[in-house]
Amino acid sequence: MNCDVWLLLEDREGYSDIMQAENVEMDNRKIRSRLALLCSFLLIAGMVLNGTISLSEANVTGNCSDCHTMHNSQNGVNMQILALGETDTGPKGFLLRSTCLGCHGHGTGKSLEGAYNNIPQVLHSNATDLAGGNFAYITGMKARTSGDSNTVGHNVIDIGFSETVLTSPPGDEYSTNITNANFTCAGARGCHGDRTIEDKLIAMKGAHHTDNHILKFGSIDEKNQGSSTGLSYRFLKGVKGGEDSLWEAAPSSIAHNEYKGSTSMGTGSATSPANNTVSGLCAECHGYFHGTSSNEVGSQDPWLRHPTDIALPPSGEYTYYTTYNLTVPVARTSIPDNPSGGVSSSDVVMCLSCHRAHASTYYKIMRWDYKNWPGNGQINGCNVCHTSKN
Amino acid sequence: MVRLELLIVRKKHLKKRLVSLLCAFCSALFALCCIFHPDTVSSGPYLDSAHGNTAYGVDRSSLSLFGYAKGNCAHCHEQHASVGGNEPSPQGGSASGYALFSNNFTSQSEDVCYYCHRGTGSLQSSFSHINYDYSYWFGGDTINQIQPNSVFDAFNPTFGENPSYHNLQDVLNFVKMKWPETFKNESNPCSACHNPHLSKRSYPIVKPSDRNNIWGNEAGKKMSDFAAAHGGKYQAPYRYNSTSTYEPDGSLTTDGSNMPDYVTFCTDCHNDTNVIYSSTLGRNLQKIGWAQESRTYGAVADYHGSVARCFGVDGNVDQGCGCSELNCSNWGSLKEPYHSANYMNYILSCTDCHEPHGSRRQYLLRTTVNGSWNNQVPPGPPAPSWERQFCLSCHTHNAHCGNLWNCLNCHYHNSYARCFACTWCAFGGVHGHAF
Repeated sequence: MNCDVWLLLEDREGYSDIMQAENVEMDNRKIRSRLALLCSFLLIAGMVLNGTISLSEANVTGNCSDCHTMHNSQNGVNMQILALGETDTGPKGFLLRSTCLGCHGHGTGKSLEGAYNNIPQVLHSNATDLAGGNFAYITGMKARTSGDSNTVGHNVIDIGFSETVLTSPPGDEYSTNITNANFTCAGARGCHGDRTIEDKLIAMKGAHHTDNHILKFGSIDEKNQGSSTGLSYRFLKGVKGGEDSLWEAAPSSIAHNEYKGSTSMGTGSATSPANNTVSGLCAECHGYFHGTSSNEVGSQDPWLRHPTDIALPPSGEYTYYTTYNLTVPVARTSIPDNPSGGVSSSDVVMCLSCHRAHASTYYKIMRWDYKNWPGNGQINGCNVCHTSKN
Repeated sequence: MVRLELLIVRKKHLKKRLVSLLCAFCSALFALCCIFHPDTVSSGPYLDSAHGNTAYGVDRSSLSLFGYAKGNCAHCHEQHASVGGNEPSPQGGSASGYALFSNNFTSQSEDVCYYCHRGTGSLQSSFSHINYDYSYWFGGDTINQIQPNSVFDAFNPTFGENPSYHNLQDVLNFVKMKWPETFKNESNPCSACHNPHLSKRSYPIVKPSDRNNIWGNEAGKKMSDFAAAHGGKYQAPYRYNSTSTYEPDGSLTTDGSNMPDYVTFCTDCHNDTNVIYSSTLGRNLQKIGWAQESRTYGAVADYHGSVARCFGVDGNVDQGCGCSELNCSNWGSLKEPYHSANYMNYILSCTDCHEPHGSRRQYLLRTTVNGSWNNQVPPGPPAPSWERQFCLSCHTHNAHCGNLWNCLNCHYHNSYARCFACTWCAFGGVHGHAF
């Protein structure tokens, strides 16, 4: 393209006989400058369009040394960042300076760590838990309202409080081989990353460096979500959604995550969530809850299990759930470009409508104190949808 | 004039401002409540129901072991059929409709309600209010009516001489046909009369045509209301062994203002148009026209309903229906408290004579009626028969044209047969209504 332009300029210079030399020179400068600008724009646009570069930065920003260490030593000091209770200061894969919890489980009073409050904490003592919940209820760092360390959360071995009752996931449709002794954050024995890969670090490879603006409000691109760990909702490979920039540290009915839901059962596996929904992810381990066939879960009138990935009925008591309730969130069949404060009959019941993902202060990782209702006089989240049964 | 108009305009503006201020105040108050008490909710219909009661609500023992509170949804509904990795008792079987812990309804003896509402083997941790029958709780007969002592037993009687019960499959068949939008194949026939999320211990019934509202709990839904609307009066029968207290609550109230309008409730199904097949009897049930006031032959009506008596309480005074019988007194009189009340038109409640679930006798008839236990004698023939004893709870009778052992052979709802019909009613044609 540049050659063509210069040829044009040469042609133009052929007319210099009838023009003032200075004027020609000035014109040529202007034209060159404009053409250079145009070329630069076209070049950048082309690179953006074919994916060579992106308009946004990677998910994680900062110095490489914040997360990586070349020799696990600096000035004779070990470079590992340890989570609360961790003691292993040895080098980690990918030259990392910490385990998952080393970054995400500081165990302090802050729910968001880092200079930019951009490291969400899954184990902390802050009064406000993030959307995923807080493993601190398992460890006892935070007081449990109901239940015990086995029943208030997903007991990943990383936090040092393995499940002592269950040895495998209840409803383990796909025989995941996950046990109370190997259940971890990511990979084939966890939830995050690529569940086809055994090693949790390899399963997460590249995710933190991926530009994931398509998961962010204002630039949601549902179609292109889920193809890699980095492009999946909260690095849950295959899951789609809209990510609140504060992980719901300061949520409201119009500032919250948006979850992907579906209105059909779909086809999932141990490593792939059906319909790219968050309920599909849960079903990778708890599929028999979600149903393996219509015989298991039934259909409307009557359901055999409480359904997930089903639209709220458009009649009766359900029609009174109209304002997004953070206690009982719904999923969307189409992820909005900005969090919506409304609820309609096209919205979807999901596992996270009732449960947290990591841990909660309540028995069975519930989002409210279901077990002690109605004696506790507190809200029963069931009534957010089942409005006539309060 | 202009000044007056100005004043009116100012007054209107002032009123508007006051209304706005009031609205703003209320909104602020509501917002403050939401801020300071975001997680508390007011009691709703379920929490006011018997099942949702925090003191005596549903409490399946296998769930209470895990610490689930009384009244919690989980006692009946299993979202995942697993708690702590195991299915709580009762175990086994495939997943059940409505996420219930067992099949909703299978047969007369297999119903999810029975798991708790039964005697031995009940899953409910404890009952503070045993499900005795109507004659026990509202008839006051705590001596003779200790059976049945559960809903299961009432619907599956293994006691009694000629037991009867509401056939649940028949109930389901009928309500499915009558209200197909409400009742499906998977519905529970118990829910035709009860709403498990709504029914209260004191007011347990809902009409099948209106399942979202309790029936009988407020003015306009009482027996006194039905009677007044149909030209008659309700007289409460005596409580058991008493001549001074009355059903249903043992109080001095006699006009039915303290009693649900069971007639409107029961006639949601058992009315003068619905055709209801009884697989127990092998025929359609008699139609019941409790609201019909006319004696006209062919009209579905009953003297125990809205048709006025032909005779006085002593059976010897023509009440204006043109009785030509010279020996009317032979037909007998009414017993107390009906005799003294001497109302022109007694409109009875269905529950004055019938048990709602089941009975040790036929047609769900009560064995304690109007304060007396009438079950001392066996069914006829020969006389004295239980059937006659049943009727003698309220009636005396001095003469009869036939046998005296089974009144029910001839006297039943909407009967027309000649001998015992009101043959002499001039306004009723040749045949009128006897019962």
